[in-house]
Amino acid sequence: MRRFPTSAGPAVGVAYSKTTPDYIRRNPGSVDYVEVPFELLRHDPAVAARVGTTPVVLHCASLSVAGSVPPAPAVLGSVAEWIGRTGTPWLGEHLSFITAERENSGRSADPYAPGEPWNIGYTVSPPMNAATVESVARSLEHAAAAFSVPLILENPPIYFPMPGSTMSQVEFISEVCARSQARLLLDLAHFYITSQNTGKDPESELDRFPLEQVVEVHVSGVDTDAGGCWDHHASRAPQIELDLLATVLDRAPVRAVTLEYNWSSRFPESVLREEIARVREVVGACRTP
Amino acid sequence: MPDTLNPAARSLVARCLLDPGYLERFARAPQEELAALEVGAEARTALAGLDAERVRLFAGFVAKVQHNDLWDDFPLTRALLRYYGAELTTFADYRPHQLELARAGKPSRAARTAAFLDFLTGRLRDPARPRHPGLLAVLTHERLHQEVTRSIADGRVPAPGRPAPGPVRAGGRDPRVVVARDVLRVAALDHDPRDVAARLRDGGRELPGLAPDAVCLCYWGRVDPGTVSVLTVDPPVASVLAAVDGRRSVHEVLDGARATLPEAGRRELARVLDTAVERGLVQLTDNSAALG
Repeated sequence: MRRFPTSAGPAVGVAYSKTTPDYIRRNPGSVDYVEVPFELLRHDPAVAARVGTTPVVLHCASLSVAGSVPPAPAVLGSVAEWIGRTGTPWLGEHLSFITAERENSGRSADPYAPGEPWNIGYTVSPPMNAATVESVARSLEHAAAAFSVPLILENPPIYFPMPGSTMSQVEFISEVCARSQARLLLDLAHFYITSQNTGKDPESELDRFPLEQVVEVHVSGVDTDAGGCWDHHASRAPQIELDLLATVLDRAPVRAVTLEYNWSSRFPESVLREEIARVREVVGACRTP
Repeated sequence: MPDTLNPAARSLVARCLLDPGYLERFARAPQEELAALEVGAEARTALAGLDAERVRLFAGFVAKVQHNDLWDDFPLTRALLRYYGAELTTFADYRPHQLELARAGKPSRAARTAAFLDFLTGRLRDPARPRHPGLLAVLTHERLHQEVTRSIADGRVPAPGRPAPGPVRAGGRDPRVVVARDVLRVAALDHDPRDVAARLRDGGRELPGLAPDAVCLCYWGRVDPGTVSVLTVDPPVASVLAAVDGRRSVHEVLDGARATLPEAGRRELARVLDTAVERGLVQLTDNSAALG
């Protein structure tokens, strides 16, 4: 497996889907890397071989860094192993929780899996307050001890107000960075979704974002349904994301831009090529600081 | 305060996402459910601000993402659900069923898909629910197409019997067994799914007001050359082919077709069956060979 490119300017890659190996084979040189989920590699290690010599960036949704239920030692060990096997330059993880304590769960608590933490199976934006900032800082310290590469934190989409939040997402992420020097993965679809669902202007919010900490950017589609904005990795990114990307590239030390179009194996290859070209055009027009 | 509030908030949201009965109770009477939590008054007030409906929709979103493989096999159904703006609410309503299925054991992809499609079919047949013209037709079309495709790929076709050629006898009891060559499915639909698909590709041209335009389709799968043909057929042909199950005799097939289409005469249906034999969709076989 080749190492992540170190040339000047951000590399452009795609999030893995089952059509990615054929896409790479038919379009050599189209992408500089593939972002692969840790959970997929753990379930199906053969995925690593399917991307051939294309560099891999490892992405994760298992550490629940904004929760207080730590991941099992076996999970930590497996993540560390795949960091080594892929040669990833960093580990992307969501600034979210996926597990939650079950002890104080209220009346008639579900008898299913009693005593075990709730396992949501999806990342959820946490209560954004000082206690969570501390919790995240501790998670990052554990990660630094366990892993040989930095953990970078991805902003989650906010779909509903979380009880206990006393900060906006930009304030929360800024506090996390101030407390821990965390590096960031700025998901522009999530950022736009959060701005729409919380009634904020995305460009103004981006002005206040700690862009100096951003090393990777995600781009993908957005849906509107049932009165809200939702993530959608099977439709083209709206133009606003490309506009925001240009702003980010002007101000942030971005090393990688990942296109996430991995929810449908029917996402047309021609459209993927167009989207990659669209992103490369923005990257080419900007000079990363 | 956040030290007790944060765990309680995470736990409350997690339980709402994973325990639909609890979410429903919380939505109806949040203070009653929160009274059971060991948190202070200030925390209880904060937790009461959780928007149960937005959480329910998020649970639906999670279910939707966890069914992303539907795009592979049922792309039109999925696209039409999205077109009608019904995708998220459908999955939100389906979420309790999804969780129940998961708790009964690790369902296969086929089982998960079938469970969701059965749910969607029931929902589309409910006259009390909003109309989505063409969606049930498209769903039925894609299901049957996939069923036939899988059957020929897996080789699940009737064993060939000893051919027993000769014209179909309308009168009397013709004991020859009618067998499909190789897989046949028939559907009577309110809309032509191919027309619906074309309109969807064209940006949804006139879809919401689309009037019913009944059509009968036959899905004909042949192991060699490994193809599935979709044929438009008239009601007598549909009624005859629908009655073929690989075990029924000629007269049982004609009886079955007349039960579906009483206005069709037996002679007419016999001619239809003769034509189906000529065109290779079915064959007439010796009774003992077909049952073997």
